[in-house]
Amino acid sequence: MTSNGHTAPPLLEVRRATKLFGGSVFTGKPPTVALDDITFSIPDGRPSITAIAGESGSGKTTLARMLLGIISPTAGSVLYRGRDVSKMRGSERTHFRREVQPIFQDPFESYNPFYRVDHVLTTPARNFKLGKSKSDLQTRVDEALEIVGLNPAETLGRFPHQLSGGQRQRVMVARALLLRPRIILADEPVSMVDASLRATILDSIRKLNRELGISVIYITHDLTTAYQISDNIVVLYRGSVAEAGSVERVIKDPSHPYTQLLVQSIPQADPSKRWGEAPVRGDMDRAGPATGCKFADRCPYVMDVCRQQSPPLFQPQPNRVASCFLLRESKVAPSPDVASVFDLPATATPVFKGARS
Amino acid sequence: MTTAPPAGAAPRSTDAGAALTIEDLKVYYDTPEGVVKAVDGVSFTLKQGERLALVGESGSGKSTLAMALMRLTKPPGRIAGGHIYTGDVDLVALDQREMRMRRLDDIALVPQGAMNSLNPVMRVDDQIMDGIVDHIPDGQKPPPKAEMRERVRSLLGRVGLAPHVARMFPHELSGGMKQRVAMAISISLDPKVIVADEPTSALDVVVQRQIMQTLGRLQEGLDAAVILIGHDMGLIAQFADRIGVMYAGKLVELGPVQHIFQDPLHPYTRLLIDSLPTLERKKDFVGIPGLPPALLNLPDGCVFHPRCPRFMSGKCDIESPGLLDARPGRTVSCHLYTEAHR
Repeated sequence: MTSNGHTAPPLLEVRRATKLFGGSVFTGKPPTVALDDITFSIPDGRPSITAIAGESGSGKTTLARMLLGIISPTAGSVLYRGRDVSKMRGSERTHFRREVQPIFQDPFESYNPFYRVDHVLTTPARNFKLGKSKSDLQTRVDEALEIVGLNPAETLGRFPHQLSGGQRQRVMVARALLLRPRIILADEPVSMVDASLRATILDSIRKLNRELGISVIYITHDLTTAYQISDNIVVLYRGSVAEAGSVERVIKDPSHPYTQLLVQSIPQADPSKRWGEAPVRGDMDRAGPATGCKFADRCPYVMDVCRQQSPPLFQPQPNRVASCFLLRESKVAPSPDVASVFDLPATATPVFKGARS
Repeated sequence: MTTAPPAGAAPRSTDAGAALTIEDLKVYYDTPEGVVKAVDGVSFTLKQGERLALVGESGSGKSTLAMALMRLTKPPGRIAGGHIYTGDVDLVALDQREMRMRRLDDIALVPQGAMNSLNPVMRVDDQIMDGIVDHIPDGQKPPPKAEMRERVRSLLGRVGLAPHVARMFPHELSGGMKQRVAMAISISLDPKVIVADEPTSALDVVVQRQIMQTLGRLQEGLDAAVILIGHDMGLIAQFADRIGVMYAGKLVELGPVQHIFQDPLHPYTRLLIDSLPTLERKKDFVGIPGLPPALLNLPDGCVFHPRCPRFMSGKCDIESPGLLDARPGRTVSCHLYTEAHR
């Protein structure tokens, strides 16, 4: 990284990425647009937590898989430190695979039930040739488990079924951590875990960011936990960015009608704040409008222009963009990269206090 | 009354306004390692038109209880004791055929994951009619087709579905629509009690709100009682009148939703509520220390004592607290309130 940090390319970048699935030239069936021209980046040097939120079908998992290099975009590109991920080969790809670590949704399916939990920790260590000696590796494993709040003596040597869902998911966080990544991508890491155990997992993810300086991409449908752990949020609707910016701004004062609908629908754990009876139009499962704003068919404020043109990203405040014609008095965002308006933590945290190997 | 009726108490006549009375219900699973007491001595009463939510972690016994209320407990599970009264009838004492007639008519289930509870090769209207036809008493003829069709149409309307859904197959419907079909089936014979087992667990927030609001309207229209089973405290805060908190097969606290959220009595309930993320302000996460106990090997005394921040040595680890009427309309099973009572 250069000294001023601004000239360095972003750590991870999605540039004008579109992903289509299915469709047929023979039957004329149009493909499904899972992601539609998304531009988004994770800057180098100022680690933060970014939430990518949306309902089923919003494209959030497609985006996650693209960021991990599991699938390639149909158009556009995914770059890691300025290099196209889909063109990486050999040691470069191994390096990328090591620096961007996933944590998946289901802590039950990520394990082979016949192996002890040590297996998920030692396999990546072996593949990436971590540790100079056995004892060095053991120290690293213990350290990673301790960071996520697990006692190595009580965890290692056990079979997956002997651990709770929360513990299993924290071993997965430790596994990601073991490789000392720059970015952790967590895809719904707590949606299958009991409420009382969610807190500890989210806390360990927050710690990775605050104390170890790892950037986190938190993919979720749950705006409450997104609000709690993230600095910034990107709200996706049918593969496009509806709204993005500082989480305080977007969740506390949503400006896109879709974000408003989402926030109003959150079941708040407070009986004095019951849901309103605000009517909900339409259903996400129906095919969206072919032209214009993708939310036009459900929007309570729909105007003629919404059905004719796709709204650009407007920037009503310095730390927020939203793609809605209701904001057309505001300036159009100068950059398609929604991360350009993000509030980032002020100081750069050193990446791992110890030396990286 | 200071404690719940002891095991084996004679059936008492139920309250006039009670839609459902559960007395000392026990559901056990016989496993090779021993008997798992999934529901162990739960008692409560549900008034007509009331919404009660049962909340608990996985393994707390809440879904086992829901299945037992429907008498759908499958081996190796069995109802090991207790009574379930709807009106004057004890569902536990009924034989399979009689129980079959009670289901849908008296007590109906809105299942968890409607996507898996509908028959994939039957059209929606046939599935709705199936239950209605099955409840026609022996010797009576089913109503004419036109009348049945009209009935299906009206049921679909009540759950917010268009009439043309009647001729569709489940795979043509979205998750939310399938859940609505499941609700239409459950209200088809105007039950007095609706058991909703995590009815929205696989749905997005917007659809979840729509489904829960529909369920609320149906319940009000029927003046039925609803038992909502769930682990999402947010959803429960939105929907319920009263909350029952389950822990390791026992009901540890029961009270009105406002009171439980404002002033939880049981230390477990307090930790559960404190662990919830809110939209109010960013805060540090507080988890509940420790893990839920293995049901095969429950701790002595209070089942929560190994995790309890207010554990009293020599009391909580020895003696099991009964269910106490700690405040008007509120019961709790905790020695903190035994002391206060004496």
